Amino acid sequence: MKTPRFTLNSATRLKQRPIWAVGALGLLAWTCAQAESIDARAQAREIDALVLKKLEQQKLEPNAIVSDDVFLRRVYLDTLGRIPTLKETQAFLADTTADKRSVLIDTLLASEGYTQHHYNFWADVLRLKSTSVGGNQSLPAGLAYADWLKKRLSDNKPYDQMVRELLTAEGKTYENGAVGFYIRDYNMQLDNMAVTTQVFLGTQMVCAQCHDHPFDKWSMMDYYQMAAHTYGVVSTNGLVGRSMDAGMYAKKAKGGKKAGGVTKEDRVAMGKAMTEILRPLRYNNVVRTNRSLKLPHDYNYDNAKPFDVVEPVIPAAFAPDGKVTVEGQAPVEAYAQWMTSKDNPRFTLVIANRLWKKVMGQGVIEPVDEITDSTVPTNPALMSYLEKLMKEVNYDMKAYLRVLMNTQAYQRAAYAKELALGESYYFPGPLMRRMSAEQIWDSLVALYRPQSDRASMEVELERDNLLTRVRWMDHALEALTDKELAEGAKRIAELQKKLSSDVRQAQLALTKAQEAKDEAGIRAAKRVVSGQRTAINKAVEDIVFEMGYQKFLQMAKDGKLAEQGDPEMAKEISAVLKTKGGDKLGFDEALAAVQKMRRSRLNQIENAQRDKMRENFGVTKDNAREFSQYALNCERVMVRSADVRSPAPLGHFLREFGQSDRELIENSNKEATVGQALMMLNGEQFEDMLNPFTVLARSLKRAKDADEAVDTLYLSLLSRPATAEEKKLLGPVVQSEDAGGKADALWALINTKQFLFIQ
Amino acid sequence: MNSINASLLRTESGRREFITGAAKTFLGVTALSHLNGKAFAAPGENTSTLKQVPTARNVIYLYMTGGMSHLDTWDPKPGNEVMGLTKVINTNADGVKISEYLPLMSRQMDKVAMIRSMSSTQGAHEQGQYFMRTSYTPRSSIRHPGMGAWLEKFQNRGNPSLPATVMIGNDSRHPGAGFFEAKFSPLMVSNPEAGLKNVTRLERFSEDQFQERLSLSKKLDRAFEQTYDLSRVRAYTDMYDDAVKMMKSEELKAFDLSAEEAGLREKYGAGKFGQGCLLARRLVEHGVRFVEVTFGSWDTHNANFTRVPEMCDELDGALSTLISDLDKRGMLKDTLVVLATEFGRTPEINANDGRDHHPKAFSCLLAGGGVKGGTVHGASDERGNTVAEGAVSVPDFNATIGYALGLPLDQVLFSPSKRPFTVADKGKPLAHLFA
Repeated sequence: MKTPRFTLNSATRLKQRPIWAVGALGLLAWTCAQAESIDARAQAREIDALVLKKLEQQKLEPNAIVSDDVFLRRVYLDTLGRIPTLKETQAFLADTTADKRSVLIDTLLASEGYTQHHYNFWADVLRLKSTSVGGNQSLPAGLAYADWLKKRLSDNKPYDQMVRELLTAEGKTYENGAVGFYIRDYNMQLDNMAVTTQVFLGTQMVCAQCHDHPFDKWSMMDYYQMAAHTYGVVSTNGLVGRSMDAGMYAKKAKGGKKAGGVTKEDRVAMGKAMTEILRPLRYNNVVRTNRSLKLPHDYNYDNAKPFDVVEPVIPAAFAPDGKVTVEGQAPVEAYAQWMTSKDNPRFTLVIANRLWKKVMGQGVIEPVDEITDSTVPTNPALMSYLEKLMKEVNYDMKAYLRVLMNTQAYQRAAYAKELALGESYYFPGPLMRRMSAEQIWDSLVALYRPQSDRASMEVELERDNLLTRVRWMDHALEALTDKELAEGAKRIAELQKKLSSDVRQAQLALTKAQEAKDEAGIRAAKRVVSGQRTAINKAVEDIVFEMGYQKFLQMAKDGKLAEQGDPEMAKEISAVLKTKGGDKLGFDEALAAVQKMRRSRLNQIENAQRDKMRENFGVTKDNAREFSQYALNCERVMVRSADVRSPAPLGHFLREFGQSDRELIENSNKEATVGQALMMLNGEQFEDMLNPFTVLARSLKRAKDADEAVDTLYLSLLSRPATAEEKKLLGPVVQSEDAGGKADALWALINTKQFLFIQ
Repeated sequence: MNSINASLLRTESGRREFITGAAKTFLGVTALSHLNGKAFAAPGENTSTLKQVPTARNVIYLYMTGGMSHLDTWDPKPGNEVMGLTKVINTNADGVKISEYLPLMSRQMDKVAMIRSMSSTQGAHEQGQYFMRTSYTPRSSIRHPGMGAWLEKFQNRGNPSLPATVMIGNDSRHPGAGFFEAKFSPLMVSNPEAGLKNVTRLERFSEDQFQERLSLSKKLDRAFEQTYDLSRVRAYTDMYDDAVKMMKSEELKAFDLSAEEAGLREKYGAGKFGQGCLLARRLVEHGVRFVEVTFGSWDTHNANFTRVPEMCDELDGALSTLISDLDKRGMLKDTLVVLATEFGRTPEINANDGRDHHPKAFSCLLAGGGVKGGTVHGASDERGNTVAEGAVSVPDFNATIGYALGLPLDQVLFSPSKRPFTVADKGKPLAHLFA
């Protein structure tokens, strides 16, 4: 077995982990990777032959193989989504072994940064949003979805399985984050289908939602028949299949209008109370119903009438035998199997081409998601080989990428000419690309803090807390009988009535107080009014969720907690009960106790990390404040882009540099804007970088002379030593005056265009 | 600059519009559109019935986020039990009554055209806001452009060194440029008093040092630029040059509210919305053509009769001052002030003494920009529940704004996915509202 010859952040992290984490499995993985990479190099040679053959036919020359430094920066950005650190660069450039590029590719693919970077890539494709619908109410769903995606990437789940999990997702957000796929398009099943076929099959059916597709083969009927497979999959709140009428109104009266002697007003009031109860669980669940899809009112073709029910059928152009659903099978299951099958004519093609484009900057087929029957790849033999390769590796994305990155095609100099829109490209080398918004940000993060590939523990904590809350509420609600729930709703309704009359009184008092200019009176009245929302939320928790929670407590006392079915929650409640006075806590206090335990665990870790840094950095009284600022930034601000809300808020660095708004598939852009230039010239990121404890500042401090300082800057930012001319230009600046000179030089270099581009 | 794009013109009306576009371009009339008002009449104009000579050049679009209660503001129903605690006052427009929460506006209604017969098909905030701003309902497969982006697509910027559209407020869900190129995106200003971010050089540099380091940076890039002489690389050279120009630009003053008299600033109101309205006026003065200011939340599910007066207080001061200020400066005649919201609120008062979402009937306002003041279009029924006469859909309302701006309402533009769209989605403008 070979040992890695250069330090990698992830490797450093492994050292800090308990030993079992790098035990036998780690060794096995390493050995397997070695075997795979030999294979990968053979396959890479086949790709190169196909590329060269095409170039020759076109009378084109391939570009030269790039130097180690260009390769290094490129492969880090393409795999981990950030530039290499000074140490990583120095180690690689100093390495003299022949196969060091292949070894590096293997190491990077195994790193945590792979997950971070590929999450960004897929979040853009899938339009993954932290709050897709209903503002913060859908935040738990969004965070669970993001977490699901990251786990799949870090487990290197085969692509076809990953897609199947998405398409067939059902259940609760806290159990199966993949349901975010459907919650993302809440109430828009027809659109969801159009997006799904575009992303996974590379075909644009969307026009056919309203009329036969004008430039493609899809008819409106095709669209509806396809959509009929997923139309029954709906996202809803927690109360599925509960007969609320029975519980709420004791018994349904004959005729149904006046149920159980309940008046219409009471019924409305109860309905509203239920809305309040379910509010926190509104975007938490995806279920399969047998709801059928009907044609729209303006359906205007001869083959059916408006409002006809549409049966799920795969369009003939895709599958000769369109009825893929067998008896007793949910249509969505059949649809998912059909879509992700090796026999599907588009599924493999699309992912093989999409990942080729990710690495080379251009697809063999362009655009990647608008493929029609008349589409011809620029290099058909290459395209079919890539498709075959994807099937051979069984949709293992890392294995596939490993082959591509081992090709000479990938390791050649970037194309230095303009490529016109629609021009065929034969891959004399990869395209020269601007870094994505995430790559730029994550590179700044790597210049700022060590071990920058690590996910943010603060963000993990926030997500866990939110999802625990949803988990508990959902189970508490499930634990109630219909009758208990109805009882709770009744009490909420009564409270609403009382609060409403209090508020009305307060409003009258307010008017009077305003007339009398009685300030205390105004404040008192306003307090009543502003407290109303909080009071209802609190009542919902106190009455309904508390009722459910008390049942769990009883189970715990009876030693039957395991029976409630959710081991995660059982563990959490048991932990609360072990604390002092834990058995006396109510729902909300118990939740708070769980969160507090998590917080204190995290604080311990963070404090330990800070102590260690303090020691290593030699923090003194004089710079303690700068250090605190630095540590806080490391934990909460300079987090990887994959840990920032998706999309980042407007005005954030990521958005300014073109991060997708997550509204449309692959909606990120790399266009230059004035705002970007202003941000680089005058933004706060630069000043932050000057904190004496940043990775970059510490490296600069170590530089013995001007020459070394300039080299440090170049190696850190551009992954190469400075040329003689660059040293001549920057040397005097660095020397001009101690720290200020170095900072000026950094400013000049970080504002170069080459910093933003991947050569 | 004009974006009449031949490849996008695929329909009959598209071809007709192309003639207009071509005439403009070939005769060099496009350049004239920098001039105000009716000067941008061009040969071939009015060939379409849905196009007219513009009455307005700019728009200040005030968006009331959350769904503003029509009953407690612009469409009260005196004596009806639906009013709850809200009372009614007369205005300076004949026979027009509004809520007592808007006393300052009651003295400006002679300049306002009120539309009391709005209805929307969307009852949820996000969908309703999107519909209001784009005239289309949201789809996962497309992002529609907002009105400001359409305006810039069809007509020039007012000031080449400032963006065509500025959005004041903190609404990350704004549709922005939709499927148009990113350059049509609005500039976002979240805090009107903070102005533009990153336009002043770092403290470490004097002006000379800044220039020196910048030219050093350029020198370091020379070899790279020679190897990669590509438009996407050169774009950064341009943007850096523009950024430096912008840092020195006189136009930045447009963002500086401190140049305004303290008295006037106070009249607009100390809150973000009042100051946002003032900033909107300054931006329009400097040539920004579409400014949106958002204000809310008007989502008064609870305590409607306390929260609406509070919100109205801020709105009343800002809106009345904006209208009179524009008027005094002679800007009102070519600046259309719009007040819009996603829906109204229920006549029924709910269990929490609030009102719920009500897309079936609500009110919006227009003022200035050639609109006849003191008018009311349409009416809701006696309870404010449904539209009783003169129904106006969301596309109709936006078509009216487009009409005022002289936008070609029937010109089809295709999205990159080759789907056809028009500004205001075939809505019918309320042409009679214009003098």
